[in-house]
Amino acid sequence: MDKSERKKFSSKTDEELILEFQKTNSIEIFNELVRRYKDPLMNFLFKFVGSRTVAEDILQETFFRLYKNKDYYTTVAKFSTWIYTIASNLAKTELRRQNRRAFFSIQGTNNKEEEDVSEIELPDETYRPDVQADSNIKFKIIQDALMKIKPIYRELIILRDIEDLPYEEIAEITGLKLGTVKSRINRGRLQLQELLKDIYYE
Amino acid sequence: MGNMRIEKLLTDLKNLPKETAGEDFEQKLLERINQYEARQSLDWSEKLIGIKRIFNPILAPALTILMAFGIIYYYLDKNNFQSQHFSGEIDRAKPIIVEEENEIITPPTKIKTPKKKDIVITKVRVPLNLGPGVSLDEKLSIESSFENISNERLIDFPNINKPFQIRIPPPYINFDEEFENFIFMGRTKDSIRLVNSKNR
Repeated sequence: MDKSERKKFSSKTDEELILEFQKTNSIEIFNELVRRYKDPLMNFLFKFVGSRTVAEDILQETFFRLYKNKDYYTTVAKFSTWIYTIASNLAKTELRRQNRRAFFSIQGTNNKEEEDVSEIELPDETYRPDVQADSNIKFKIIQDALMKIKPIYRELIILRDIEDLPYEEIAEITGLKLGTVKSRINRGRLQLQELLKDIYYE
Repeated sequence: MGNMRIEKLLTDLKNLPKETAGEDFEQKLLERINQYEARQSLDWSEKLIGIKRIFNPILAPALTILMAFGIIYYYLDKNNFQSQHFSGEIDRAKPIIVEEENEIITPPTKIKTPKKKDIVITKVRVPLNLGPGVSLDEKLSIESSFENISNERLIDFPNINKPFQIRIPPPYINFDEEFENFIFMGRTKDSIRLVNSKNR
């Protein structure tokens, strides 16, 4: 796609583009939508599943589904909500699959409310003050801590605190009530804080 | 203290390094889409090839004959099946339906009953015409005089002036019945009742 084409599409909203894509089936419009959303979605998926390879596969599947099921989009929802919902659902499916595989290797004992992904609490030796010097390591620790909290909290924290989406849109993506979203984000933050207490000790 | 920690955590979360898609991501995606489109068109072309095979000029007559045989065989087989299974059964008499002639049904004419207000009663006096009057007293006096009575017979037999005999058969008397009547005379139910009432 050359610069003139990009300029032509840059003035249009996502919703206008998808509607035009529905009508024309133009690959240029599809590419524009991919260009706009590939990085934010990749960031969300990587933080959610914790693996770059898996995240990229899910990202490709997300756009492929967008291409196949473009006609299912209606103007009722925002395009970003729709595409995040597809990506989120695919990521959850992948996590369930991973969890099923893990079930046979290490049987988790977590059978609590509202979540089907069991947590395996393993002793973590990395949260020590002496390994906090490098910020890269710090970010790695945070990413690891994110992977330790329950996926229902993780998803919401990523969408809110990393992707910076409004609460209303998060509620639409996850299909939860606004109050539930807020309370879960709060609980997730507390869990994260507890896991990272050695970093934020002062 | 707690708020400070949360704020730091949130800042760090926002500053986490952004993960980006690989450089060849779009290319890979387009390749997949092209493969998908190719498969879709292949499906259609395969279907078209299948249709073309059916309408092949060499195969078409053979297929038509085969289908005709198939249809004939199916019907024959169906008839055989029916005759085998229902040979002993007598067909039920079907009612002959005769179509009724279309009669023109005229709606009954309404009889107009005169309403009370339509009836007009008029009183007309009509004089009785009984003819000329007769004095009954005068007529009776003339006809009732014995002088005018002629020796006329009550029953007139015009051709028979000679005396003649009429044979009257004797009455048949059943003496047994008469005797019984005589014996049980007066002993009817009423008489019995009377006797009984007397006894009381």
